[in-house]
Amino acid sequence: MGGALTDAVQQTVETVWATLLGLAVQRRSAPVPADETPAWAGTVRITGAWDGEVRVQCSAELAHRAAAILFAVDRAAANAAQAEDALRELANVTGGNLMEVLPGPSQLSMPSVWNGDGTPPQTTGLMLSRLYFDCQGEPLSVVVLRTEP
Amino acid sequence: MRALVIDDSRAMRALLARLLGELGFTVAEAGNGREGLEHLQVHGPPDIVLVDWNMPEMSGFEFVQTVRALREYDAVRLIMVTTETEMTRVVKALGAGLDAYVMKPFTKEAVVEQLERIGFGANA
Repeated sequence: MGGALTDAVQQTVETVWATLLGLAVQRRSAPVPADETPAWAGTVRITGAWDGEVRVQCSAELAHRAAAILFAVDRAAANAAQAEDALRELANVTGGNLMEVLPGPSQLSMPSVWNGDGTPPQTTGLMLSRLYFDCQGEPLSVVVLRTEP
Repeated sequence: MRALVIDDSRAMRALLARLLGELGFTVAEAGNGREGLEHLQVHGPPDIVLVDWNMPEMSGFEFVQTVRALREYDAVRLIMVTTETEMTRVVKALGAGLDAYVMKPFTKEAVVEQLERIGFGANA
């Protein structure tokens, strides 16, 4: 599944960000220091024939820019709640579309979001894919984790 | 023309409401299927409902089933806007009385195409 999943993640991320937000994302072959700093994360769990999660991580700035586009407000007017909602939905759409290439039938959970406060989401399970992107100079990454039985 | 957008994501509701507004609809919003049903009861049936599948309290599928069991809402057209890509689910929803569906992420053209398909074209 590795290569096919990697291709699917890249294609899904590019399509979701271009279609919903009108933003281009460029894949990076390696992480940059900004990828290693705590970032906001939207997560959806998938359960059923395949158990795991899809996590969309980006800077707070990029989450706010996405919110500004979705809510049609200036960047300065986009608030944290709108940014959280935007990232939650981006994770939901990304995870839902990736279910197409994962074994099914499975169920998609309600998306959750971590906004940098408190304990970051745990990275448990087998990491099947982690891709790094750049969007308007801001870091974006997508992780696919399979829950170990 | 009146539309109701039901989605637990405020961002998605905002996006769809703006799109439908540009097409000439007066748009109301609800955060899940239960709130959507309450809206129908209080404000009467709109011409069209765009409903997400995966929502807390009452899913889009449950909403479609409930609305289609009530004859006073027979004329309401129901469009599912969903990430649920499994065709078995789409077929199940169509069997429950769904009129059309749009996959997220969607373009404005994809939504317009489905609206036209069920009689809400530019000249409708």
